[in-house]
Amino acid sequence: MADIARQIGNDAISSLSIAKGWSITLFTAAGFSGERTTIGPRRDGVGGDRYNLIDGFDNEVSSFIITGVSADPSRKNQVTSTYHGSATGYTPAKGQEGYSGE
Amino acid sequence: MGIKDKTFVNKTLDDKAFADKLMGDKALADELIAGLLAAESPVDLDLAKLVMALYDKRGTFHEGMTGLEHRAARDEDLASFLEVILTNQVIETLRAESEAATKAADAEMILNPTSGVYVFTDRNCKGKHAGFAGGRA
Repeated sequence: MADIARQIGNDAISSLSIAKGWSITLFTAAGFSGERTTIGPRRDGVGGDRYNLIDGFDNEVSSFIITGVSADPSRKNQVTSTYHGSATGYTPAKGQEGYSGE
Repeated sequence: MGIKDKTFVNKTLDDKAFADKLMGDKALADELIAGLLAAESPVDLDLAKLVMALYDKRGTFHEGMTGLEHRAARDEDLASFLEVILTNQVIETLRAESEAATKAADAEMILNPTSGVYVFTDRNCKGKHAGFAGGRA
């Protein structure tokens, strides 16, 4: 189980690099709650895009959901992964992969 | 590849005090050479570099060191050992180059990912980072 707090630190994200075709929805509270914003996907060009988070999200992100096309060729469908800093009250929806921590 | 290969010799002696002492102390020089000859892989590269740097200055230091060249000419074990040092140095250089290339590739990947999202603790995609994709991170 991945845990945002362990990997990067809760309320610690300030910038992102996102691959073409991928997006991330950021939440200011654990369990996919609080303020939210979605970044991406870029539909043109190649490679990734880079973003600095605006006030209100800079160093405020506690959970996020990433959506994109799996790099695993055996998984042809769109996949959604979720990461959050609190496992409380969260159950991954069908088609999602849930990651929870403390 | 010869033992006088300039690409091997460390041009700078960081431990000048030790080098000076070594050049004036035959017993220490002999002990060091004996230690090197007895060393088993992996070779102490730092020590070997120091010895070889001194060796490269033959004629200016203790005969115990200048004698290394003559000993190597007739001592197969010594010559083999010196060859090991040279080979290790080449391996070390290649490893360092490979590591640098890997770091450069990793840096490029996290800034321009082809899959997934990287998050960073500092602005402009710097600082501590973690990558997330469709699979488990």
